[in-house]
Amino acid sequence: MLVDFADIEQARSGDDAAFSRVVSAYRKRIFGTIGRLIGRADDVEDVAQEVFLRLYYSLDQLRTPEVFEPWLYRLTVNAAYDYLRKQKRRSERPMADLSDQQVLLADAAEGTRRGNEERQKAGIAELVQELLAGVSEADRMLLILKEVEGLSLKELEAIYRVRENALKVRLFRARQRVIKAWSAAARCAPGSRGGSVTKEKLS
Amino acid sequence: MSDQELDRLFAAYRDAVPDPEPSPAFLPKLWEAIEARRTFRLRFQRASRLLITASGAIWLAMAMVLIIESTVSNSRPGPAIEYFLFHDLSNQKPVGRDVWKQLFAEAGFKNVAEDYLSFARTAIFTIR
Repeated sequence: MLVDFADIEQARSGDDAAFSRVVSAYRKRIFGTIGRLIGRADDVEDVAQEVFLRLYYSLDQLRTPEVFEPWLYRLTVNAAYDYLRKQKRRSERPMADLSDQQVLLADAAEGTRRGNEERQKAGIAELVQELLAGVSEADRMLLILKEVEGLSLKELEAIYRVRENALKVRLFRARQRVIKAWSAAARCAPGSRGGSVTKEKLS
Repeated sequence: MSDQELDRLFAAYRDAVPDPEPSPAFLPKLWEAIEARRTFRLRFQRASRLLITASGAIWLAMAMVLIIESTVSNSRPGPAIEYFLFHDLSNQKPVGRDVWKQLFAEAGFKNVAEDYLSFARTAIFTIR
């Protein structure tokens, strides 16, 4: 927890200063999560505003401060879903572009060799986002929360309100789909150096 | 790609996309949005209360009009009201069935059928 339970209790009972403390404590983390969930840095602040706005007006429904973080993550996931639904982002990012992204990644790797770390990072971000575009929105968010945000299965259980075993199955299938998408893209673009470059970069 | 490579890719992604720094205006903008929604909610609540009160009053008024109208129409059938009103406004005397028959005869209409609706105290003349 990034804040005291007392702050959450006070915010819940209408203390605006306590609510500001809660927002200040969590905003950076929520910004990061939203950024990785929606994949568009420009719109992160707007989605984060919506998350905290929803938090303000739903705090009175929070049963206990102990479940605050899963509650906040649930609001974040829902706001990200709403945003993505509005943007119809997936239709704008077809899987067919994956090989191009691999080429970009290869270019990024060359940049790395020239000491351009930023380009390498951008390449990795692009690659992961394109790979994740191959799975459903729900699975993509689940994978990001588990594998990137580092949430535990217990936390995910509280956020999604589904059993741990069901989550494990969904995660396993989602991972398999990502691996398959990668293999398919590598086959489609035999000339691209994406596979070897990634191995090189990740080792 | 193996599971381990995928794990490493996700870890690299985590490092590649750090948590962005919120702008200094984030909190003031959030409070503006909270206030705007609060004002909207208050206005909406007031408007709904007003609407409920108004609809109750309208319902009551309509019920009263219907009651009055049904009382009036029980004493005078609709066509009779129009008939008397027309004559009243044009300063003419209402005439009875016999006078109408005489007027038709004087006008040259020999074959005039009359249907008298006793329940409405109304006569319908058909020129054949």
